[in-house]
Amino acid sequence: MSIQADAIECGLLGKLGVDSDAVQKYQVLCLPQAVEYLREGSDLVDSTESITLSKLLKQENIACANSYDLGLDTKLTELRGLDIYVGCIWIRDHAAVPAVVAILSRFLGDKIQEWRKGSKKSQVHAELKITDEKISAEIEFNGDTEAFLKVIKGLKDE
Amino acid sequence: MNRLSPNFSMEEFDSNTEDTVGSWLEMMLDERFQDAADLCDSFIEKYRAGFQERALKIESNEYNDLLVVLVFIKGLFDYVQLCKLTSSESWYNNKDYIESAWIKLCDCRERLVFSSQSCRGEAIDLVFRSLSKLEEFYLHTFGAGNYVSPGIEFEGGLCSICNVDFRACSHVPGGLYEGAICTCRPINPSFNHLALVDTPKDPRCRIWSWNLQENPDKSVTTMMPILFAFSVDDFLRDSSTPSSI
Repeated sequence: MSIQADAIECGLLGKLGVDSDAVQKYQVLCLPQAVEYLREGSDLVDSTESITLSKLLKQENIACANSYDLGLDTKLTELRGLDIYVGCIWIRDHAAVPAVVAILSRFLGDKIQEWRKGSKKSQVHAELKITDEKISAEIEFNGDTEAFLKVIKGLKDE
Repeated sequence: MNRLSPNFSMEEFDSNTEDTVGSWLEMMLDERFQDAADLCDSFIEKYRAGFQERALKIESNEYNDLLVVLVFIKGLFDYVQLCKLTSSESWYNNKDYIESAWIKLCDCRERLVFSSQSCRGEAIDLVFRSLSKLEEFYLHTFGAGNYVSPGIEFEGGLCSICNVDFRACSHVPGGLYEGAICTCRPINPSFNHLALVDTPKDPRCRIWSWNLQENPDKSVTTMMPILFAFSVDDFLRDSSTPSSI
């Protein structure tokens, strides 16, 4: 990770009381949406999908942290619409991109199985941040799940 | 009621499942709905206690196979109920039947989608085809529908498998662990909004036009459930088991 990106990231998480050293060992962070606008003591709200995604990444041996691993006290939310809220996915190591893309694709692919004919497609809501020495990018996405999958697959090829 | 053999084996279970599904199919083709329902009921009752108490002499991971088959048979039972509900010529003129059949359709589909990961064959294909036709009927007759969708916030969640902070363990929601489905059990849940959507996570929360009442000020009132406690394995749980999300 570049020094500048590292400083920005640690600054943002530091406002929430996260020890910057604790972040260093992780390739990917799965955090509540809009985490960068929050301050210590704010109501942080994880989606159950964000937590599930972090578990799937860990299963594939990605060094991934969720709010619990960083010592953040969060609430949980469950929205009963078909939309998928994966929160903020912060990729700190470009080497993890292919695995993140593969797992996200599988996770979302399972979710978007149309429940019945005629139903509209679900949408995905995500913040994707990549901050390492190769690339620094931020994508806030609220839209069609298949379009999101194309975007993240594009990241793998960069 | 059938009793479990003391020498229960998965081979015997698989064979019994195959026989039961074959007989069920014959009964359904002959429209012997009550016989088909009794057959499913008898199968589930035979294995329920041994499954719930984990008292069978099988490997712990074989309880996953047992669970999937029991959910499958319960799905077939749901389908029989659905056939009974819709067997009269004019069932769709009865609002209670329309609503009940919709719920039963949702239950049946959800159980069979869950079990289709390992249950395949003529019976499940027949049911899926039939459910799709019924969904088409609902779509053409009543439209795609509007639904309520509650947003729920909770102070935290516990994993249904290991009972620790849902964020901390490695169990994945929806995964099978020794015959149990991992879910997040909410701590102090509260509704924070109710949305009107056309793509609900739970299609049971459908708004039926005949349940809407127009008020003098042109606003609309309806009484309807906004959250269902359905789970594909709910028939295997004790009533004391807390519900999950």
